[in-house]
Amino acid sequence: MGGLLFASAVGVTPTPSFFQELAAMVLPTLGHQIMAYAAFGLYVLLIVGGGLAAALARTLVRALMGLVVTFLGVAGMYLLMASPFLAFMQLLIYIGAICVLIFFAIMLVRNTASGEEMHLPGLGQAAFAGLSAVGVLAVFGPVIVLNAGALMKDALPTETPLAELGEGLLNYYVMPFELISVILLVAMAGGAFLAYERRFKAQDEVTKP
Amino acid sequence: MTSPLALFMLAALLLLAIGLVGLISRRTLVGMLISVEMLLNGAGLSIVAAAKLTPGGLDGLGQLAAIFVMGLAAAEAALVLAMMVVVYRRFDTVATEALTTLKDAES
Amino acid sequence: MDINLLSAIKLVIALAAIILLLIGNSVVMVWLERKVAGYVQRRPGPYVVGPHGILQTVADAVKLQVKQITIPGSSDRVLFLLAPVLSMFPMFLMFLVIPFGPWLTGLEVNLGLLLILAFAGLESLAVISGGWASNNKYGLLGAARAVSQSVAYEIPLILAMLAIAFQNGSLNLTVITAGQAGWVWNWNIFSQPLAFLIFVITCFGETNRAPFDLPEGESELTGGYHTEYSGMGFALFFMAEYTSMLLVSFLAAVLFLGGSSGPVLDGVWWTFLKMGGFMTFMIWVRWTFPRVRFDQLLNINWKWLLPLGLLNLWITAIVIKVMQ
Repeated sequence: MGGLLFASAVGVTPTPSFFQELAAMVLPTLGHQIMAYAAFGLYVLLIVGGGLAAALARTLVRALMGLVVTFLGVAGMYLLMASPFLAFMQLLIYIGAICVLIFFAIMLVRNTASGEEMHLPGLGQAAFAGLSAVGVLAVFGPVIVLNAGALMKDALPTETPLAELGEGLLNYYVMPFELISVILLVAMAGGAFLAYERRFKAQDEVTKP
Repeated sequence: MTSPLALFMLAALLLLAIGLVGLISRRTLVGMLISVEMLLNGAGLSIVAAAKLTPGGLDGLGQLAAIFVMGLAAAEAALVLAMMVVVYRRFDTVATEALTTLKDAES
Repeated sequence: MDINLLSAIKLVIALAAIILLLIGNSVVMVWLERKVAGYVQRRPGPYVVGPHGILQTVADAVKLQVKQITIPGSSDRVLFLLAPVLSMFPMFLMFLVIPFGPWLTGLEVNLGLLLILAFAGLESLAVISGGWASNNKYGLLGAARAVSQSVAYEIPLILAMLAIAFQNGSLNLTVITAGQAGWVWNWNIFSQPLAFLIFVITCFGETNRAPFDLPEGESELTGGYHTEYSGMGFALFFMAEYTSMLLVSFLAAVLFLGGSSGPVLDGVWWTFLKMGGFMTFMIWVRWTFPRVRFDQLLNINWKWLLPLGLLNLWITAIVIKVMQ
């Protein structure tokens, strides 16, 4: 079972021979494994902590901050799996765009600190939530643990070159690529149409008797 | 010791479970949207883990699928938030208990 | 990928050097800005503390350190104290990928440009939490304005950088800089002038500098999203703004002006020289142009910079295809 490594390239530079000797010294495999497991533990901590804050916080802005922490944890996990492109896209799209969108929604619907979320959910609701979470874990957890060992590959994951991803998007998966641009266009148009407020609506109401 | 694939899939499962807890116990639409984003993240993480850590050369496909999921999540969040603005204008609140006009007035 | 000892040592040294650079930058920038402002407005600027007012920043730093940190009563304490820290946090990581010299990169990443863009998105979060946690309508309004401006100006920035990436075939900043080595007319500013223009304008929009500094316009919003901050909180926000100016100047030097190559002696000093020139240009523009109104600001972005960026990308793609 191999350890999982960080996916950043080492600088390939022309260096004098002293540095070459230094470059040849690699950390032992045990060091790699310890670092990888420590990083994984940190990211799981970020995910669980942020997730609990996002699910249970009493103020919506605190829930949003918890969501941001969760996204950071997931981006770290993508880095551990040698997908730096995906990690940066996660940061760019989720934190840079979706979280900002949710913040504007919070501001627009004026859910202040004395809003609905301050009341704790009733006992029935809380019990149902806990039961469903535990149920999901109990059903899928053992399936994963028992079957995953047989499915793993032996080598470490390597970074796919960006050119390969681009080729995939433009050669074989060009249909989903075009469709997703259509979906985004429709979402933008639909959002603008739904939220559009007629400019002179206030004036009409004033002139009506 | 469990294999790394199991560890990553369990982390994705945790995301799913916590997202479910949030979705069920939240009382406003915005809170529910936050939980739904967490669910989508869990799905993306499990897709990439399944693609990258199994043999078969599907690395690129897994990453592309995760990117599509991200794009769809963004489009969905934008639409849901626009709907929320409309709901707020109509009902003057986004608490889900207030949105009951489709309920039969049976009593 | 193996992590060998050389890259680990390089990383640690680079982090320490970057921290020193950021602190030194803030110190020099505060003085430089006030001096240039003074001379543009035909007055001497600070000249009391030390020769030519050089020690003015030290006096400012001491004042900010001993000022009482006031926290509004009905605000969210955790978010209020977290926001300034969050604004400085991604900066260190972004400086690690910039190639200061031929082999002076902290961490060479194949997707360096994407890393910088990704962490620039994190900056808007600090503004959000700072503005919201102040529980102050000016703070909230300033935060909303700052975030919508920042998110809007990211798009032409990405388009301009994409054109450069098309031309050099890689998102790796070291490769982009190396592609400009040689004569001065190899620099990207000569092969992509429109992208440079878009980049310069969006830089002002991204870093909330004049003439796009409406979020912190003192005469309109009494300070915007850092209204309620005093002492160290304010100092951290201030430092974050100057650090983002530094980052953007380094990006301009590396992406468009040739990085560490110059007519005479190649080296790291050329990068710093170009960065200094761009930074002085930014300060000069601040004290020359009046502030732009908010709807005009967004209009410039959506109606002018975005179509120009797309046009530039299209022309670049066509030229590359034709010349193959």
